[in-house]
Amino acid sequence: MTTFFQLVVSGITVGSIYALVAIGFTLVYRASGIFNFAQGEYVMLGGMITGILMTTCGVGFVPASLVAILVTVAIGAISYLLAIRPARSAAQVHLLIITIGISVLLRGLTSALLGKDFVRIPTFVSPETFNIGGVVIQSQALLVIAGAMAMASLLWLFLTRSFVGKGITAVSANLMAAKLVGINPAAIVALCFGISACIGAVGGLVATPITMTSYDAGTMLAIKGFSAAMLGGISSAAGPLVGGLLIGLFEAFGAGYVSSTYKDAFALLILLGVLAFRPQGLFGNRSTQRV
Amino acid sequence: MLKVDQLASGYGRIKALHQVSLEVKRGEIVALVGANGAGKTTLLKAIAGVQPVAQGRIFLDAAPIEKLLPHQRVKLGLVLVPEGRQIFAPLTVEDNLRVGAWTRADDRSDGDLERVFSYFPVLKEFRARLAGSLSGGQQQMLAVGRALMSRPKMLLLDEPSMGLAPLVFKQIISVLESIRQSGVTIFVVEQNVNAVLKIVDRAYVLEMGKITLQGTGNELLADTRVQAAYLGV
Repeated sequence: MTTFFQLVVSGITVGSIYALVAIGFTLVYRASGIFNFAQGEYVMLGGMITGILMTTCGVGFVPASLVAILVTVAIGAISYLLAIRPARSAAQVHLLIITIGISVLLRGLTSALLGKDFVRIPTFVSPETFNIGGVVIQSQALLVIAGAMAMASLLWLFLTRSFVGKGITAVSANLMAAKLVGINPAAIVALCFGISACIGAVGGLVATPITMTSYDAGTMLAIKGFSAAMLGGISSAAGPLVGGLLIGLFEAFGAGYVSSTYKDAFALLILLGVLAFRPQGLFGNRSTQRV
Repeated sequence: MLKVDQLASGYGRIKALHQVSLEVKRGEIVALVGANGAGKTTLLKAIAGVQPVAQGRIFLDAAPIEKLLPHQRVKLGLVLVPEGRQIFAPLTVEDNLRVGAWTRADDRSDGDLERVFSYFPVLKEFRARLAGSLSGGQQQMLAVGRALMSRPKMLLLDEPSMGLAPLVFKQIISVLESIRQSGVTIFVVEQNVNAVLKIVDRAYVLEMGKITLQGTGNELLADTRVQAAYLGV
């Protein structure tokens, strides 16, 4: 039973990060119809930049993480405006390939500028671990979970309560009508890329003390986050969050009870299952259109 | 106010508009009538900036606008109420209206909201409902109201009567007259030719992407070609 709860804790922790990536995927997808496969790189950049600034430049955690978030947000928004926006009339699959290109570019630039070594961020909470009935919990893991929930709630509040958030909903719901009320969709989509980069970077910098990170960590995160988004359903607010946690749990149980060799395969198995049997996801409604 | 000069537009290799020229003067209410597929919607979309223009020019207050993006035209006061009630279904009625005031940095939209509610009281009653749950007529009112929220100088309306009960259509027509009296210039595409020609100052007839007739509402109502083609006389 201890093993079970231990796996639950680690599954929810890693699942929180997948959830953040999935939330980024759905936010950008709903505003622009684009699956942004550079989503995982934002998480990697958040961790890498913070870690390098702290370990090699001796910067404190707070300024280092602020720099990391700002740089990642800028990269997210600029990569949209420079590489994706100019090709906006291209087919969706071409835009998807552009985002994969951006992801490869970011990986390459990171390895050239920040190195290929694993980067660690010192744990910033103490005590490092505590024990509840035999289950060892890292304090940092609770921070990861709390951080992910906080980011998801803040985003939800922003989208449903703020005027700009309603503008994002308007663009997602009806692009032409949004243009006709005077919304500049390019600005809205750039904002969504920026927000998704911010969410990813925050996830990266809270998770890196546990997971460590390296220039190539983003690829797997993108795949897991995409699987999570598809599992939860891309059209609902709770979908990506629940999807992320479920993928994390599946993965933890799979690694714990089956074999950790196949850890990364579980998310892909779920993705295939979802696409085959429930393409709208757990919480998604089948797309319907009024005429 | 609005001048369209030798405008051509199309979809791929199919030309929908051939050298269309027309003018709407400040304070006028002008109609564009024509059969299905004549290019009326294409023309309005091109003026609003959501349909690419192949050739020709569009002027608003003598300034060329054909190169501007749609949201920039809205900022200049040119607003289209598109065909088929393109409302934001997942937002509430009130949020639909408030988003309509997007271009106004001041964000003091309460007064405009009350004005729209005075035109369409049902929207006030349903202000907290999701727009997607409204009936067709209510969605059309919402689309018109949303356009008014930006305080347009020039309002373009595409088929405001489509699919509406006669009573709702009458209400929309009477609101159009109030809007015009408040100083907004109106250019309206309408299939209900008989009703619209009675309230407009002038009208153009568009056939196969070309302007074939123009005149005052009464002149066109009396025109035998219009009577034969559109009024079933």
